[in-house]
Amino acid sequence: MTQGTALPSRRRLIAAAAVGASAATFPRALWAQGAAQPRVVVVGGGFGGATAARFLKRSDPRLDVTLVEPNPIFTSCPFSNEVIAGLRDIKAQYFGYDRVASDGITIVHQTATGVDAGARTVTLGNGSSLRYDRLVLSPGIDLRFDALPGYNEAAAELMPHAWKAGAQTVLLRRQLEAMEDGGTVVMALPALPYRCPPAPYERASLIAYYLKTKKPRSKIIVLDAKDTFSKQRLFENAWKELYPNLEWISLSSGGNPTAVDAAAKTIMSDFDAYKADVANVIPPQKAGRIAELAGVADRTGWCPVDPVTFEALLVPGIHVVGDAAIAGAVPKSAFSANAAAKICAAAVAKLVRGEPPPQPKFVNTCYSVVAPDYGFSIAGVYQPVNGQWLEVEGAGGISPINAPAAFRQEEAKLANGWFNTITAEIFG
Amino acid sequence: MVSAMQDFRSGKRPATVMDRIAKGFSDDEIRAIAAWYGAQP
Repeated sequence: MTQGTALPSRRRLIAAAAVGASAATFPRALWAQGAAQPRVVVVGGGFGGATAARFLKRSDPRLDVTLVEPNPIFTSCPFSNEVIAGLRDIKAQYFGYDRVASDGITIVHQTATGVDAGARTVTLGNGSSLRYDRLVLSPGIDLRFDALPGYNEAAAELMPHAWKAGAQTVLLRRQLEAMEDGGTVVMALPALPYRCPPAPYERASLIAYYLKTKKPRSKIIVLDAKDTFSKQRLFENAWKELYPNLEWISLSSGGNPTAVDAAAKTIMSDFDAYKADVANVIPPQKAGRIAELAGVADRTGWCPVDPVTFEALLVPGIHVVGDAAIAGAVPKSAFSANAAAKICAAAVAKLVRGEPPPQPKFVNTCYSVVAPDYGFSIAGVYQPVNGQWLEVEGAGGISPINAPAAFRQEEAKLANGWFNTITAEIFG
Repeated sequence: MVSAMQDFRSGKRPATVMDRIAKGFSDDEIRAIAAWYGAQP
């Protein structure tokens, strides 16, 4: 068994690992034989929502499942850093919903504009509404345009965040292409929590790769609101080895981005102002808007959930998966959104029939690619302990610090394998 | 499959990431996973 074939297996074992049953008893559902089938509405058609919809139907084909997603085409964030670096076409990030629909899932291309948790209805942009027995929200993130002075939606057209894939990704790519050799790229990074903790460092690496190979007199400066980050030693070793054109300025070295002046293409930090030729500002984030409208987000802007069912702690009957949820030690990643959605789907399929949900346990693996032939990973195994997702001790961790080039090359290949497998599972 | 997972866990079987993942699962859980696979068509 090669690692490549081990990958899909590992994700499929999530379902297998849902062993045992909760000792708690659950009230009988109102649903009875002969009545209408339980209705589950899923809002958001990304890695979390599309997985939830398909695994709900797979858990119980009798369920009436509707997926609400305004966009006819999904654009994947994972691997969009390769698009920014010119290593991949944006079209490779596009996925449609035809195969999701062919599972017998009703797809509604509308924006969810409100939730009435009492009446158990979701309101849509066209004024219609959908009734649900259980609602699954997978709204991803919204960028906080009130958090970094000077950085609002208009500023994002000049200094793209590219933290939601699509037009912003293409905009940043075009700016990099248009930049003269000798220019300076400046990135501004937020504090945790945000979507995909290692992704800004992968992006910085791949931009450095682009500059080194196509614009060798240019450089990239990374201004960070943190002193430590995911896979740090692996990134720093790679930078030392490959990218003398990349400078990372940590929080305690004065890197914390405090404001931006979009018209002047300048980012202010604690001690200095950085004039950019191309600026990539990744602002603080919160759960997607519908989470707030449904009342499932707390003061942090994110959604506390029960780890066994992903049911929101603030509003019963509504589940939250993906980046929007607060899932303890679990990082906000596409991989964990996919795993959470499977666990949530298995739980919801039981709950609508008044049965106890299975006890979950799952794996997260996140690859970073710093050059086309240089990748590494972090993995973790997670289980709920006293209402919190905790990492299983003694498992997981990062790729070896000292590994031969062939190992890095293998993990870069596996990163591609992971992306092809997970997108095939969700959209294929 | 049970022995493959156990060998990943012990380091006997070379891996890039499966060694790190297998360490998170007990023998009982590995057997449950193998049983689930065995039941798939």
